[in-house]
Order: sequence, then C-alpha cells, then structure tokens
Amino acid sequence: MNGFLISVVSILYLGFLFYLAFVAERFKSKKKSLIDNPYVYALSLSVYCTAWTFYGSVGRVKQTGLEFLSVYIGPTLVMLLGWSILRKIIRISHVHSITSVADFISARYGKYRSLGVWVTIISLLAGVPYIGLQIKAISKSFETLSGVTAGHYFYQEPAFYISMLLVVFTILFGTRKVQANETHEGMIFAIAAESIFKLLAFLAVGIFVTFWMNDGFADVFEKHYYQKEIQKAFDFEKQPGYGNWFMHILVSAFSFMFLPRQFQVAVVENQNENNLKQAIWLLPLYMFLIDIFVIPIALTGSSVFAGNPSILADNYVIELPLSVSANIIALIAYIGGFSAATGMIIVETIAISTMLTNSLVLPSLLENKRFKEKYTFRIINFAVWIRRGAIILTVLLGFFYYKTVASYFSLVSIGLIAFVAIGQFGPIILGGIFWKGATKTGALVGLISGFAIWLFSLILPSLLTDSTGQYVNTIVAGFFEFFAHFKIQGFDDISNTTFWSLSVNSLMYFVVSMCTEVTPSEAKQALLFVDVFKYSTKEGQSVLWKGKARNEHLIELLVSFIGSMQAKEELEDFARKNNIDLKDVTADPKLVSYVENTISSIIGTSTARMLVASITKEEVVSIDEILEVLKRSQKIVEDNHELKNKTQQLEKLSKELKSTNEKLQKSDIIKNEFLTTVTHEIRTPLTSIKALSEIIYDNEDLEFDQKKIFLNTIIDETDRLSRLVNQVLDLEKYESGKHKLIKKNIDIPNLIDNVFLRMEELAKERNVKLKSFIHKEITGFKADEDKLIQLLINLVSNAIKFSRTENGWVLLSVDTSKKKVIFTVEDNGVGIPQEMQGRIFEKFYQADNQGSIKEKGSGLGLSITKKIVEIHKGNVFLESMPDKGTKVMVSFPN
Amino acid sequence: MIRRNELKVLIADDEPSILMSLEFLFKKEGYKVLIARDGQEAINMFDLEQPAIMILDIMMPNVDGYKVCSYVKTNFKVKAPKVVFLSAKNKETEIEHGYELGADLYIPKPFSTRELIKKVNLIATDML
Repeated sequence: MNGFLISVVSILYLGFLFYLAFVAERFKSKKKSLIDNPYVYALSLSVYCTAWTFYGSVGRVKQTGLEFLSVYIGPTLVMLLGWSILRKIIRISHVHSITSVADFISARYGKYRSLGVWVTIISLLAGVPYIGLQIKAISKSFETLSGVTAGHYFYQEPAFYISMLLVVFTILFGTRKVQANETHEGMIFAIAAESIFKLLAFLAVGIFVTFWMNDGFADVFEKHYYQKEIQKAFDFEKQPGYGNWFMHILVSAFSFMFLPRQFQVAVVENQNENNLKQAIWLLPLYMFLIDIFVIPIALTGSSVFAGNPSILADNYVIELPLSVSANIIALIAYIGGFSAATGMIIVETIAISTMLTNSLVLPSLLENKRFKEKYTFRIINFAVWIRRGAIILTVLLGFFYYKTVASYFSLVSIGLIAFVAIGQFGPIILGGIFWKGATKTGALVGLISGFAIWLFSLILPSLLTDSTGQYVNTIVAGFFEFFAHFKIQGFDDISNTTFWSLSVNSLMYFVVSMCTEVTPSEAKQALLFVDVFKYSTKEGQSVLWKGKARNEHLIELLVSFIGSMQAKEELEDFARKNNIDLKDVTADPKLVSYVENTISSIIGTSTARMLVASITKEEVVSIDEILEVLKRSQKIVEDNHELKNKTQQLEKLSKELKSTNEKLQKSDIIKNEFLTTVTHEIRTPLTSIKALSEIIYDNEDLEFDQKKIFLNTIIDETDRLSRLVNQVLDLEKYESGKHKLIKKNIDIPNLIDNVFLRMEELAKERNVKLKSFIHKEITGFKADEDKLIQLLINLVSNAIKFSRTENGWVLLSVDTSKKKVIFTVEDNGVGIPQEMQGRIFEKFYQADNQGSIKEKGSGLGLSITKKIVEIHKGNVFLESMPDKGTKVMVSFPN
Repeated sequence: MIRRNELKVLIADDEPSILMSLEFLFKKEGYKVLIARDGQEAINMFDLEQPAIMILDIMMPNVDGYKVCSYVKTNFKVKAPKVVFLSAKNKETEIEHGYELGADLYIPKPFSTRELIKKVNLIATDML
C-alpha cells in the first residue's frame, strides 16, 4: 500500500483526536462534562490495552497458548473482586489532591520525598521502554502495510514525526491550563474514543479472519490446529505450570492499578467514585471482546505463513488481510494498532511528566536555598515548563530506546518486564492503605530491594551478554550462575522475578517497618489513608497542622498558583464557610491545610509540603494530638451521619403527618357528604309524611279510599324512615369498630330458609322466583348469623328489585373451596352498567338506571353489606351485564 | 279563581308519595295538573303542554331540576313558565343557585302544604 496514503490517514486520524479533545474541552468550559460517566471511564481504563495487546497477543498465543489471557484476567479480577481497593485509593486521592502514583506513595509515608523520587525513577525505567515499544509497533505496522522499510536515520522514520505530533497533543491537552483539581477532559475523551477504535478495528480483523478467511470458530480449529507448534503451545503438560499463570495474573493486577497511565486514568482523572460501579462489568466486557478473536488470528496466521518464518506473529493482524489483498481491512487494522499505541503514549507521557515534575525536579530545585528564596512564589511558571520539557524528554527517550534496544525484545516481553517493575509498588500501596504500622523506611527498603532484584534478573542479563548469549566475562557469569540456584522449577523468567522480587519486597517492607518508629507525620498520613472513610468526607479532610503562618503569605502563595481572581473567589468562599477573618495577621490552621491541599493538586503533595513549610513556622504535632483531632473529626463525621439520619427520620415523619392530615381532611369531607346525604334522605320521607298528614287534617271530607291510600303511604314512609335510621346506626357501628361479632356454627340450609322466608312476600309481589343451590355440604363455617342474614337479605332484595318482570328469578347458591365459603346471589335482571359497577358499594350511590321510578331504598344496603363482609375478613365480587343480570359473590374464610 | 282551571301546573318529582300529595293539592285548588317522574319527562311534557307553572324537585334521575329550570327559562324567555323549586337541598348556595337560574320561588322540603298553595296561588293570580 502507498506509504503516502498511510501517512495521510495517520495524520487525519490524529487530527480527529485533536478535534475530539477540543470538543470535550469546549464542553468543559461550559461546565458540562463529556467524561463524567461510567462508559467513558471504563473506556479510558481500557488504555491498558496497548499495541502489545493489539499486535502482541497473537504472538504470545503462538508461544504459550492460552497463557496470554493471564494479563487480562488480572484487571478483570481487580474490577470484580478488588474494586473496593480501587475505590479506597480514589477516595484517598481525591481527599489529598494526589496527582500521580509517586505522589500517592510519598504522601502516604509522611510526604517523604525520597520515596516519590524512587517511584518516579522506577516508573521512568519501566515506562520509557514501554513507550518505545509503542513507537516500534507504529513503525513496524507502517512498514508492514506499506511494504517499505524506513531509512536508518530517525528523520527518515514516519514514527518519529508521529511521536512529535503526539508530543504536541500531550502538551496541548496535558499542560494547557494549570489549575487546581485539574483533570484533562480533552485528553480523556480522546483516549476513550481511541479505545473504541482499537476495539472495533480488532473485531473487524477478527471477524474477517474467522468468518471470511475461515468458516467460523470451529472451522479455524479444524483447519489450522494440526500444527505441531500450536499444539505444543496449547498443551498444558508441556507449558510451564499454573505458577506462571498466578504470577502473571498477580503482576498484571498490580499493573492495572499502578502503572503510571493506569493510575492517571483510574484515579487522578476519575470524576466520580460512582463511575466505578458500572466499570466493574464494563471493563471485563471490553477485555473479553478484545480477546475473543486472538486465537483464531494466531492459528490462521501461523498456518498461512507456515512457509515464511520471516513474517513475525506480532504482525499477523496486518499480514493476514494483506495476504488475501484485503487492503481496507489491513488499513483498519493499522489504524486500530495506531490508536492503541498513541493512546498509551499520550497518557503514559502525561503521567510520567507529572511525576518527573512534581516528585523529582521541583522538590530538588526547592532543596536549593537560594532557589527557594527567590522563586517560592513563582514556582508555577517553572512547573508548566518543566512539565512540557518532561513530556518531550519522555517521548524522545522512548524513541531512542526503540532505535537502540527495542529490537532485542518482543512486544510482550517488554510489556511484562515493565509490569514486574510496577508490581513493586503493590506491597507498599496495599500495605499503606490497610496497615498503619508501615513506615517510610520500610517502604523505601522494600521498594528498592524489589527493584534491585528486577534489575538483576530481568535487565542486566541481556545487557551483560554479547550477541551469542555468553556473559561478557567470568565474574559476571559466576555471579549469575550463583543466582540461578534460586530459579524456581516451572517458572519462566517473568514469574521467577515476580515471585522473588515481590516476596523480598514485602518481607523487607514488613520487617523494616516493624523495626522502625512511626514518626508523627507518618502516623498522621497513615491514619488519614487507612481510615479515609472514617475521617474524611468527600468534601474535605481534618486539619492536622500546628504552627505559625501569616495570612498574607498563604494568600500570596495561592495567588501565584491559581491567579488573583480565582484565589479571591475561593478564599472568600472558604473564609465564609469556616468563619475565618482573612484580614487577621496570623492564619488559621484550616487555611494552611486548605492552601496546601489546593496547590498539591497542581504540583503534587511533596512539593506543596515544601512550599508551605518554607513560608510558615511549623511545629511538630504529636501523635496524641493527631489522635485527638482525628477523634473529634470522626465525631463530626458521625454526627453528620446521625444528623442526616435524624433529618431523614424527620422528613419521613412530616410526610406521614401530612398524609394523615390529608386523610383526615378527606374523611372530614366524606363525613360532611354523608351527613348532607343522610339529611336529604331523611327529609324526603318526612316531606311526604308531613304533606299527607296535612292534607288529611285539612280535608275532613276526604273519600275513604283516598284517605286509606294516604294513610298507608304515611305508614310506608315512616317505615322507610326508621329503616334508614337503623341502617345509619349500623353503618356507624361497623365503621367505628364498635360492632360485636357473635360467631357461631352456621347451618347453611337453615340459613337459606330463613332468608327466603323473609323475602317471600317481596318476591311474590314482583313475581320473581327464588331458587337456591348448595354445591357441597359445608361444616364448621362460623359467622355472625344475624349479620349474615342481614347481608343476604340485602343482596337478595336488591336482586329481586332489579329482576325482570317476566320470568324473573333470583338464585342463591353456596359453594366451598380452598378454605373459603362463597355465597352467590344471581339474577337475570337489568344488570348494572360497567361504569357504575365500581361505585355501587359506596354509600347512597344508587345506580342511575333504576328506571324512571326510583326504587325504594336508602342507598346504604350495599355499603352495609360490604362492611359486614369486611368485618368477617371476606371479599365481595361483582359481575354484571346490562340486560343479562347481575352476580354478586361474597367469600368468607372458613 | 274563576279561570284557574285554565292554568296548567307541571309537577316533577321522583318520589311517588310526594307526587301523590302534590297532585291532590293542586287539583283541589282547581289547576290542571301534569305529572313528570324525572327531569327528562318534565322537559318533554313542557314542550308538549306549555304549562304555566312548574313545581320542580332538584335531585331527580337523568336530568336534575336545575337543568329543567335553565332549559325553560333560557329557551322561552317571553312565555317562560313560573318555576317553583321544591327541594330537600336547602343550603344557602343551593338556594341561590336556584334563583340564579331564574326560579321564581324556592321552597325547602319538608314544606307546609298550606304555605305552598298560598304562594303558588299568589303567583297564579299575578299571571291572570
């Protein structure tokens, strides 16, 4: 493929990254964040998958089969099982304004500078080859795709120009603004996009190889598994045992958290602890997807290129599509690898340059008295330029490494060697956040001894051998032969070194910590780190500073970092919240802590410590004093918690009160309505009685028949009135719970006779036939007989009133099932319209379709029926079809 | 008194016993009495017979007394009948509402028969 075209595509791609980063920064300036969500967070964590993953996994499969998975299992386990560790580290880092892994470690051990320096050096030694590896991958993939080998000199290499563009990107989006609590919004957004590109590209190649060059996964194995080399790689018996798996998983788990770039994306750039919750499954999913096609590509490649050993397995991802002239797929593969490499270079460079600046260069400069006196309030200008210089230096070192050393190692081995170096941070970080007894000396000795073992066993042998693999002289040879005795059977070099370096590291860390005193400043940090959830909220930390400081100095220092405008705003805000007068001469310790914390987030904790110490007169705070303060702050945290609980309880109570009040008001309204309706219902018969009585009184000459009709009506209306009064009283009794249930065994046939006897007359009057049916004999049914009769009479009389005038019938049937006794009253009458069925049990609700002649009834019958059912803990059901009839079922528990 | 039998009185109520007594009372006074058992029937009857006086209950099925009143008072402004509400609803607001709809009289239940007849007779005399 045309080299020029590939260059153009690469530059266009980088241009697109610049664009994405600009967009995200623009959003941030509008106070919107594109990166504060779990998806971007998980994708940014996937910067873990570098060119090593993209190209190297395939090569690894060819050598050791499934073992390549171990470095993905490590991170997966961290997310699934160790996320609480990550959460604790994130919380500590937010509270203490940590800017890098070196910053974290030195802050934990009393802001001890030497530790930060060592962590920075180890990170640099592990990081530079790792960056070199990415540049190598870019260069090799370019060569593979274009078919042209680049010239010998650096200026003939496309990879050099790409590296320089990456430097520009990193400086632009990594050091553009220096501000408190800075996050690199644009960079992270671009990195997340790169994670999408590399995943899609790898899936594209994988699908192409698996489903186009082969017929699916099964076919891949059927066609290509014959190769002896592959069979050997997949044969567990012939592979170094499970010890290797364990060591690789362990070291990759540490690396996933503590590699400079991983710490950067996972902790420093983390916007919100909660984003971690979703990343717990998103990241493993990403790992799974990017690994799924590795084996098919490896198998197919090694079969296709069996006769051509000059084609390295590391290049299969591009070579395979090229072998069948699928140039587009090959170009996609190249872009995917390119995005994996550039993503790593950008983040790693930012992280390393931050460490170099904050933990190495600035503290060293401040050591110099003359420098300190002169530049204390102008440090920030240095910080920015040192950071930029460090970025250029880091990338150039990476490029230099690629040009000189990288060709001796495969992609994966450089990666794993870096992993083991970074693994040395594991014991002192984990110990640091869980063990208060650890000391800075212990941490330093542990770290250096682990690092030394790494250097001796993984780096020196290759540096001290000549091209034939012989040691340069006999002394060196004897030296290494002595150490060869320690090699563990079945472990590869990486696992062997991992085991020894981490064991010695941890042991020295523990033993030396036990033998040394915990100084007050260490004790303070130990408490703040180990008990971070106890002593600090997300918002702030306890003030543990004692001494004399002048407000004007502190303010001047802060202004030098964040500018007078922002400083003024923040200081006033802080002063108001903490009730501090900034016009006082002496500063409040809270302000000292606040200023230190703010500038820590810009130049790291150790430098900030040095600066604050230089403008104040500090006193040593004893451990007792620290404990005292922490106890108080813990109490505040607890009180806050309790207050929150109390507030919640109060809120709940007031809500309940409100709803009770609403209920009361509602029941008041209901009562009023009831009263109005009762009054109305009483007035109606009263009106008739009064009118008719007056007529009889006034008309002595009334005809006998007429008089009789009137008197009869008066009697009827009086009955109606007294019935109404009784029903209202009944209802009141049921509703207020004053009723008494006199339960006794019910003889069902007898009960039905009793009901029908009382209904006989009404039924005859309406020409309605009464029928009854008992499905099963029921024994042991207990209920209040009088109330049951009242209920059935209500139902039956209703049914009679609304039954047909011709061939009308009412059926009362009794059935039992599942500990229930069910009474059903059915008629073939006018039925109840659908929309009214829900309301007919309401008081005084009488269905409107009762014909133009109102049926006599109080409108309370069904309400009483319902109440009777309720106090027996039963249920009422209604089924009705207009013009077909109505069925009321009442069930009682038996 | 001479021509009172030319006056038609429409009585609308859903209580048969009240209808019964009112019918007796007004017939005895010499009115021509028409009977309706709900609001709709009252409107139909009005359209058919054009009574001069209407005695209306308010709470009736289908169409209530208020609606009957506003129907006759808005649609037949000139020849509108006199409307007397006879209702167990006797809150002030309900009574006011009745008058707002154009009623000529609002008598709460239970009423005195003598009073009712006296007042209706006065209305009738005005009309004659």
